[in-house]
Amino acid sequence: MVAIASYACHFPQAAVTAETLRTALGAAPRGLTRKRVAGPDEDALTLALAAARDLPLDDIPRGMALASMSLPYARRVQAGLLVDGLGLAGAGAFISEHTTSARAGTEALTLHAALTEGWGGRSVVVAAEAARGHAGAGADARLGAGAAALLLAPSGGVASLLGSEHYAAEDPGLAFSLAGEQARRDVEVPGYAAAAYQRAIGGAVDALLPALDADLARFRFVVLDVDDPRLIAKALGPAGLQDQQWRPVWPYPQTGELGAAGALVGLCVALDGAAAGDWILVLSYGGGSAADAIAFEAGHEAGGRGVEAAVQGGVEVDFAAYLKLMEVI
Amino acid sequence: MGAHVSVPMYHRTLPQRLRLEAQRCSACGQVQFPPRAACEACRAADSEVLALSGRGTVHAWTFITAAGAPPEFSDQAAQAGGYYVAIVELEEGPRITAQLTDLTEAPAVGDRVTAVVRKLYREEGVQRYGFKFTMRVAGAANESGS
Repeated sequence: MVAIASYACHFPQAAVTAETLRTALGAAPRGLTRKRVAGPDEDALTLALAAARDLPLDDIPRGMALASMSLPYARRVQAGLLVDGLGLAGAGAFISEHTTSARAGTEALTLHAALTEGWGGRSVVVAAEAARGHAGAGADARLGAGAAALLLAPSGGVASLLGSEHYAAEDPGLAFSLAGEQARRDVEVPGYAAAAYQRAIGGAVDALLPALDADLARFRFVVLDVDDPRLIAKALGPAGLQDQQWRPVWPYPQTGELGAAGALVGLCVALDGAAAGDWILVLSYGGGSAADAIAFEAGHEAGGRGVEAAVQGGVEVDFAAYLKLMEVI
Repeated sequence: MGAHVSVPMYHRTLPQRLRLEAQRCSACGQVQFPPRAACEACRAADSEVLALSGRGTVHAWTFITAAGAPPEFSDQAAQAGGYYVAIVELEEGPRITAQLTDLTEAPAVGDRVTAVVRKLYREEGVQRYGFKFTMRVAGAANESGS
C-alpha cells in the first residue's frame, strides 16, 4: 500500500491583508483574510525547493513531480533545480511536471502514487505557486504563494493511501488563460461554473465512496482547493459535508488561492491535525474539467510539523510593498 | 563593473551555489569555500566534498545602494533601494560573502543566519539561482512546517 512517509510546507515571509487590499482597491476577494506573497528573489522553484528540503531525503528517489502554474520558464524541464538543489541529481529518477490547472498537484500525486506502487522506491511530489503581475481588484487578487512537498513510499507512518477516483469531461469556458497570457479569463456565468464543479467533484466522490464502502461522514477532514464556500456547499452539501470537516483544513483564507499547491497544502494541514486512524479526503478540481478524489488514513507519524503555525505566520506588508512584490511597480 | 558569470561557469558551480558544497583538505582538514584547486592552508591537492550546514553568524555587513550595485543586481537595487550583503561565518569555519534576504530590520554582527536558495539575477535570459542568508528559522511560525 502506498504511503506518505513525510510532508512539509513552506510559505514566503510577506503577507498582505484583505483589509489592506480593500482600503487601496475598494474591494477584496470574498472570504480572504490575508494572503502570502512571494519575495522579490523567490519564485515557484525556490519555494518548491524550500519545502522539499524539509523532507528526509538521503538518496535519489525513483520519481519526482513538480506541479505549478507559475514556473519561471514556459518551455523547459525545471524540476532539475529541485533534484540538484536537494543533492539528488543523477541517473534513476523519473521527473514529471504538471502545469496546466489547479488540479496539477493531485495529478502529480496520483501519478506518482501509481509509480510508487508499480516501481517501488520513493517519489517526491512538490507543488508550488508564486503569483506575480496582478495587483488589481479582479479575480486574480485571490492568488497567493506557497509550497507543499510529500514523500511517497511503499510504506510509511504518516498516512496510507486508501484509494482514489477521478472524473474527466469537457466543460468549455471556465476560468482559463490562453497560451502566453498571465491573467485569467472567465466567462463569468456562475451557475454554469457551479454546475461544472458539481459534476466534476461529485463525479469523482461518487465513484470513490462506494469503492471504500464509506460515506462522507467517515472522513474527519475534507481538503478542498476552491475559494468559494458556496460552490462547496452546492456540490457537497447534499452528500452531508459539514463545516468542521473542511474549514479547519482550508488554507485559502490565510494564504490566498494556491493553485496547484492548494490541495497539497490543505493535505499537509490535515495530516498535521490528524490522529492515527483519521480518514482524510482530498478533492481537487481543474477547470476544463477534471477532478480527483483521493483518500488517506492517517498513521502514528502524522502531526507535529507546525504546518498550521506556518500557514498563520508571515510579516504583513503595506500596499506599496505589495505592488513591488507583485512586480506591478 | 559586474562580474559576468557565463552559463557554463554557472553550471559548473551549481553544487556550491545550490548546496554549499565545500572542500575538506585530505591532508590538514582545512575546510574551504568555494572549492579551489589546492588547499589554502597546506597547498595539498587532495580533498573531499563537504556539504556545509548553511548555518552561521553575521561577521560583518554592509548596505549596497542602487548607485553601488553591480549591473546584474541593479534591477534589484533599484526596486528595493539597495540590499544588504554580509560576511557570514559558517559553523564549519569558512567565512563567505552573500546577500541577506527577508530582513525586517537592519542586521547586526552576531545575528544567526541560515542559507536559502533564491533567485539572484537573470542574464542572457537564464535565471541564476544561488544562496543568500536569512534570519528566518526553519519550523518557525513564519516560514516552514515540516
